[in-house]
Amino acid sequence: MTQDPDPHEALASIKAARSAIGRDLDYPIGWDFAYGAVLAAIVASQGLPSPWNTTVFIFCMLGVVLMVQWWKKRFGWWVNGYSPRRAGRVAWFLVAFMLVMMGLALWTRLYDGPVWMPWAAGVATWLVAGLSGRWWMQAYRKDLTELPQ
Amino acid sequence: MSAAPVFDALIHAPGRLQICAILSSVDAEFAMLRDAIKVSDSVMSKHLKQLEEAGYVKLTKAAENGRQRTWVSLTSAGRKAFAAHVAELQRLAEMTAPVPLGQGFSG
Repeated sequence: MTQDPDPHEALASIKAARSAIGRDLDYPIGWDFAYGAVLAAIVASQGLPSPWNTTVFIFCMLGVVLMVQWWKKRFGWWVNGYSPRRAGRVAWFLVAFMLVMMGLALWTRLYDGPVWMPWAAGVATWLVAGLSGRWWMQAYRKDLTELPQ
Repeated sequence: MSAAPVFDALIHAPGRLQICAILSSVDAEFAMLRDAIKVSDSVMSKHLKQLEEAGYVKLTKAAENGRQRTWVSLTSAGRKAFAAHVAELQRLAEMTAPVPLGQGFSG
């Protein structure tokens, strides 16, 4: 790029710099397993009596902090907000799914629902969260090929 | 991008433009940014100093395994300035867009 890039050059350079962030990103499948497990534990613990639900939640938050630290150390970056585009839609899908699953797990605790319900909600969350992690990354990579909003 | 178009000469320099482009999506470590825009440590430091003095980036030092690592993020002012600069680049690019074949002046 020239020292005083014309608008076309400058816009192309912005797109290139953004899309390079995640292009060669290769993270282990263990990340998806761990990410799904943490969210699954948050969901399933809603079916536990106090203080166990809070205790599990605190441990899960510690797990999230450790995962973020691992990622930052390994790749040298961390997403600083939610994209309003494709990746944002994936994130909202996961939030909505988790809320429904948490509601099902809470049902067991508050209204004597089936004992297996929190477990089933946890397993479903583990699968969906693990898969949607990869889906989110794919969407995020696409978002990065465009100009920022 | 809905920001009012404003050209920012500080951001427009090639290295700083790429730094701001990366930081518009992620917070990044000094070494990651340096490798991404392919410059030396000293050039990178100079770019970051200029952006920091303008209030566009925030530098955070964090100790890790006995090493000091510097993390860089765009401030709210930096985010606004970059958005306005991109809007201006888009406006200028539209004005200078090449005329598609068959739609130019004839006669």
